[in-house]
Amino acid sequence: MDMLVEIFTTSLTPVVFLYMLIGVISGICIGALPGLTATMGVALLLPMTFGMDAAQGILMLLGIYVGAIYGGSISAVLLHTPGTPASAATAIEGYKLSQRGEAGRALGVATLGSYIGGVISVLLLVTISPQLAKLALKFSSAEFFLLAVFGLCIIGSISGDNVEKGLMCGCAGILVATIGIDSVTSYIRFCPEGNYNFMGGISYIPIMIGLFAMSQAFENIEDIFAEEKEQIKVTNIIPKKEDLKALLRISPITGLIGTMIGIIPGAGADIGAFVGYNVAKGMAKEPEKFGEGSIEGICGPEGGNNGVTGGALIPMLTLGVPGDAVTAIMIGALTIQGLTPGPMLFETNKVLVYTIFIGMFIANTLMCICGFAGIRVFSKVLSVPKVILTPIIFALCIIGSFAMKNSLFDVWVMLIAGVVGYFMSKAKVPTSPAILGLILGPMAEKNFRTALLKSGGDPTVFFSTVICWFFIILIVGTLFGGQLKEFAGKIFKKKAAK
Amino acid sequence: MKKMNLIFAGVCAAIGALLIILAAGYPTAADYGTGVPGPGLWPIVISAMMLALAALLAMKSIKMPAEKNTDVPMWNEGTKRVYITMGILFAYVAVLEFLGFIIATTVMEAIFIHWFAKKKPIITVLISVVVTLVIYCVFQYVLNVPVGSFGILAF
Repeated sequence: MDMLVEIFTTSLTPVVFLYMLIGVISGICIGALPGLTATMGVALLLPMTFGMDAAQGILMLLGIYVGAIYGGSISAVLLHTPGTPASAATAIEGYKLSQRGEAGRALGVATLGSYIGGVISVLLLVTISPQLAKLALKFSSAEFFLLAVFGLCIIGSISGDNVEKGLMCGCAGILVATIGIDSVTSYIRFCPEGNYNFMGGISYIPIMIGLFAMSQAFENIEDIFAEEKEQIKVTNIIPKKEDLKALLRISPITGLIGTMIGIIPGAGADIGAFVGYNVAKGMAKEPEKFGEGSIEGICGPEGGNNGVTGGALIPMLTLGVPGDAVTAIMIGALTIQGLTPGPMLFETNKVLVYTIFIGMFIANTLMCICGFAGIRVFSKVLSVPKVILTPIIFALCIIGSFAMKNSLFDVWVMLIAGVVGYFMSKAKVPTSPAILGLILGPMAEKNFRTALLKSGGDPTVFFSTVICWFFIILIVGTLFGGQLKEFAGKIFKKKAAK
Repeated sequence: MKKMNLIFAGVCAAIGALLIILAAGYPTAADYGTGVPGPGLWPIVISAMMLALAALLAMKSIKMPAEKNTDVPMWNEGTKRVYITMGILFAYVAVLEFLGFIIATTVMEAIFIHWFAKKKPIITVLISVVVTLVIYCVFQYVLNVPVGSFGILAF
């Protein structure tokens, strides 16, 4: 109770509410615009938080995150163009409903479905995080090393058909993170002679702005002269009784599944949405209506993608491992504030952690209120011309990368990362693994060497505890799970044939 | 796609090989005598993994069936626009330090808005100036980022 009073008197001040509201509204606008993703929005607006305190900054970013994931559904429903990848599944049924003159109904269900998914994820965040943090306090360097390796192994499984490319990209991220002064021996690695810019290491914020915002802006240039699609009118947004029944039956389940997906490092809202869509199809009373404009086909993905938002915060806050690309940027935001995400945050900054929990719930509520109150206004955002917006994004990328260290070197890093990101996208190389590599690489290396230092060079330290073995099993399962399943299937078939 | 994969594998392999050569010259565990691996071990392990993955990708790409070998357009109207944009941005960042944020960004915005939006010159200049000044004021005065600390208008 005392903590609640402290949170509401010191952290959740009216100014913070205002920042969250600004974040949610900006997020919805960013998400609604096709070509601007939630990650891009958070990366672009991150520099705005440099002058704020930790709670203000993180809660504004959370507002952007929650708002953008929901905002993507606006263009998905009205234009059949998902505003963010997380809304691709919503576009399938949403646009069909739009064509039948039920755009308002689809958007109303999307708003409430997103809210339900978001709230479920907050409940799980509040329940799971403190327990996981308590467990993580028992981790030594060996366990943290294996945790980071597990996070890095996930890269393969989130890269879809491009496993090798994803892993190579992850390796590239780890290697970029090795540039500069080695944290264990202070030896300077891979630095051009006399260039002090490299000595402190290459910051990953400009790389993220380049990979996620600048490269996306380059892609937008390709079809910048394409004709804008005509918008459909939005009416009757309040969900009917039958829609509410579908929402309450499906969205909490897909929200729960979305949260679990969010916990897996690297798995984002797009995966949550498609899994949510499939689950909704399985639960639907009339699955044959899927593909023709099913309300249940909106409840599922919207619950799923907003469920990911809270889930992704769980590993970020408790273990310092990003749940997705957006939370990777948030790790950067916390680091800039002098805070280290991980189990110690629950000991040293309890008020901040619980402020984030409550703030996440408030951000979802603001998203729901703004969604219902301003859907017609937000749909007007779609008429902002790309031809003006794209040059503004360029300027924001430039100033955003400069703002962190007031360094023009970072601007060059961002621009080069943007160019590399554009060509990577052309070659179908996923970019998220690079960010996982940049964050988890140093964590893995530092803990690997610290564990060996403590054990006097004895490598059995990595097999010495139950937690170590738990992670080893997870790593083996992640790397060879597919082959093991195939092998078991073959044996089972042979036995069945006999 | 085959060609793109091979280029990507080649670039990664070259980077991996170069880093192994550089890191091989770094001090080793024996130099420190504490049982801690030297600063070169981690980059060597990761670079070796990248080399192996590059080889795997190259082999898979060579054996790629024709129907999977989709065409990746790298030289059409859209991509040419992107390359020109990249060139303009590189030139912009190169002169940024000398011209300062306000002048360089106004010119950059004007070039792009004139090119993309095809507005009247006066409208183009007006939009460019307003956009630049709004961004400048927000960062310089609200967020205290010293955007005006470099260039010919530095203060």
